[in-house]
Amino acid sequence: MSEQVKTLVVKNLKQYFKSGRGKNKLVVKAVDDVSFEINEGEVFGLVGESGCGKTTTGRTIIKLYDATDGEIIFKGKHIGAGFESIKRQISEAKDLYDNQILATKPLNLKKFEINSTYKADVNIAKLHFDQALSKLSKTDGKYKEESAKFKQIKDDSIKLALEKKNKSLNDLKLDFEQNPNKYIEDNSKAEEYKAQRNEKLNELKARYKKLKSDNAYKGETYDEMKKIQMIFQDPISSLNPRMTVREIIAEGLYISGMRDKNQVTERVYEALRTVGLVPEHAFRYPHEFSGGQRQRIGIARALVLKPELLIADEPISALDVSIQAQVINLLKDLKKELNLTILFIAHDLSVVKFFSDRIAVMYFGKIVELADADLLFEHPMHPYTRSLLSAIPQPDPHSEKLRKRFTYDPINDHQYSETVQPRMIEIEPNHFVLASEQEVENYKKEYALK
Amino acid sequence: MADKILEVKDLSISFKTQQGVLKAVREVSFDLYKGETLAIVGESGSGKSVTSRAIIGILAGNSIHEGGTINFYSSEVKKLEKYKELQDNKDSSEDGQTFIDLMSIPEQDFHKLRGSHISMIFQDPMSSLNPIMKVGKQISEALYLKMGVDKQDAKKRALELMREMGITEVEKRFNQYPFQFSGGMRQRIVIAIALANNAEILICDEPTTALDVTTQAQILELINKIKAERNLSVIFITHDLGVVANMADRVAVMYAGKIVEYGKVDEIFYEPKHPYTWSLLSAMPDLESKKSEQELFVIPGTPPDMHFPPKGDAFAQRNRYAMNIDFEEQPPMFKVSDTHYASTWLLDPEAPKVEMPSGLKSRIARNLERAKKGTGDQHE
Repeated sequence: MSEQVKTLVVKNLKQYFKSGRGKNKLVVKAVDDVSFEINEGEVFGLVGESGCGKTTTGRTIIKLYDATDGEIIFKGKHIGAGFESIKRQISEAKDLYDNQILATKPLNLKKFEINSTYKADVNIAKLHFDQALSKLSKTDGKYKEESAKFKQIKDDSIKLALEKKNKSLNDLKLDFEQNPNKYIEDNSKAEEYKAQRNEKLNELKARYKKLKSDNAYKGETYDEMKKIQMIFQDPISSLNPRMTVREIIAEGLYISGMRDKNQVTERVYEALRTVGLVPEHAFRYPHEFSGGQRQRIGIARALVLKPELLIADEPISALDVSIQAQVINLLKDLKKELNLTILFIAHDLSVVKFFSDRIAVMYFGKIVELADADLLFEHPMHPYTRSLLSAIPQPDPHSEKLRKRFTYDPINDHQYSETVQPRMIEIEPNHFVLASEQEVENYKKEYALK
Repeated sequence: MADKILEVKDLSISFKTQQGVLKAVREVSFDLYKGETLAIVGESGSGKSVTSRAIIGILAGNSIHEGGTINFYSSEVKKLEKYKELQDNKDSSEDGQTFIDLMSIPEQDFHKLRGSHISMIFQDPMSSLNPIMKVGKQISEALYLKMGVDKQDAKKRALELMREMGITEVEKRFNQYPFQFSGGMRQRIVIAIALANNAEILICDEPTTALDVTTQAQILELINKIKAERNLSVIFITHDLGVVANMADRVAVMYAGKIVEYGKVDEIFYEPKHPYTWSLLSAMPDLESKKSEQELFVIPGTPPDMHFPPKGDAFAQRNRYAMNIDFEEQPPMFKVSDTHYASTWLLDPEAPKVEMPSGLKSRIARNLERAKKGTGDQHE
């Protein structure tokens, strides 16, 4: 199994959305360090509540978003990457070598230290001021008076820090004049560090460049990307109402360079037949179809490019019950016929279980549990998975009347601390859970696993 | 049997559209009793929402009332102008009856009932709230407009209501706008508004379809709790059979504007008789459905175009058990038990004996087995 090339490998994927500047700056960690692999011909289910990042994960894989960090590898080839970590490595390397070079020049080092101390003092003063202000209420009558007081304190401490800095610089100057021997620079060592610095940076920058070119939407990457296609939740808003079905389905073919009209038409008809529609439908507009048929058009649009990986983002949530079954069966048949690999994103656990081989449960941007579909339902470990499972209403009045719902409390359900942090642990074969060592022991005891 | 509060009799409603007359609801009859939950199940376009909108009197302008009555039983109806008018025209022998046909009363009268006696909550809580009005005001508005209390009292009562709906930090929340609330919290506000005036009937039109499973569970628990506390009668419209199993005392299954089967919740789930109910129940996998069961039971095709209702049974086209007569004549309501009725020719004494799909049969057997054992928990 391990020798086989995985269809999709996602490594430490992060997707952060930033908004605002300065004080209003907000970073939403929509996907936070997610890793998983999808084997060829497998249906991989991704479940979680809305806002947990499952849709963002899908969209980042197909590069509707640029990843913040991490790698996406499709059939052994890098197709996407985020640059956050390589950028960080570069800046860390710069800092490291700059410090070493600085250490060879004692006078500069001393000056630098004095300046750093001053900057830190100023920052602390500003921080205290901000904190004090945020505690004040603007509607309070004393606001002006109080805030003026805090501002005075801030100004005083900055003045004090400046005096301290000037005094230290003066002392340094005197010391330098008296004992110049203490401040001899080691030039040969500095040169050595500089060479090391350049070497390291060049190496990192080359890697950065490589990642960037892999990530670019052209050349080989572009050809590979065509083999990943997506179907969307809402069959109404995902089809352009001004285009005929033929135009909608053929658009991908035209964009990928097919110009022969007859060939395009043939491919469109073929795609329509595959999803159970007829060629006559090609010249109608989306509004002339029912919800289920529209979803079929969406699937035909994805299939016309002969994808190997299909990302299905809640493809049945907006459909009627009787139509949902039709679409699931269609996807099942297509998967078999076309040997598709499917990333199935949904919140309906019964459907996910029925359709998927393996399932990952996401909570607030992280995968908390990942297991074979049956294992996950037999031995749900993570308290969030349990709460999710206990919330699904089942079409069985007796069990419904008795059903007890667990609620998940992310703070009190775990005893995490600075030293005890959760990580992904394989608790039984093919069953991973985000937990601490102690929790794993408890889970094992509970299910009497070895 | 508890008191009847609502009686829908042979209700037929059509809509004038560009394509002609659309028959949305066709001779629907059902009763609603005090303190019970009646679930109406069906696909979109089956007429379940139109029925409920008729009950609360908010049908679109192009609707045509083709026939039938909705009788609302409550002593309150004596206050209505229309009721007085009716009493004046009647001989004394019929005096004292305490119901009125909601389809016949004018809008001024309906205004007195809507909100204070019959209330409704909708699928999308955001569109039923005013986005530029603080939620507290939206709740208290319902109070001082209808109950005639002053604004101070209205605020006090609104805060109480919010607490009852499980909202925390009510003082702060009172002054927030709808966009500052999550989906589940918004739905709680909507329920608070709907129940501000102690309505007797609450119509829930897919109240949890737009919500996550965990939030859905919370809202359903809330509705059940309030229902028990206030002895509410609830009409619950949904297409999620899991939710129906959780909420309903009785179930009506609608298809193409007609009720095709109705009965107690156990009867519908454990002894369904209509092929459409069979299909609905087997169309979705439950947590025990094995992948090895392969194909889901599929209802082929789509619901009929109700501009041109089919001649016989509307479900015949999609029904794999359809007989010749299904295409000729509409089946009557056959009685299965005192509380259980189904409209399918399969129940005719002359019809061949047909079993429900085997997958469904084994699922029901499994569920009953578990119920006997008394564990009842599918999730373990």
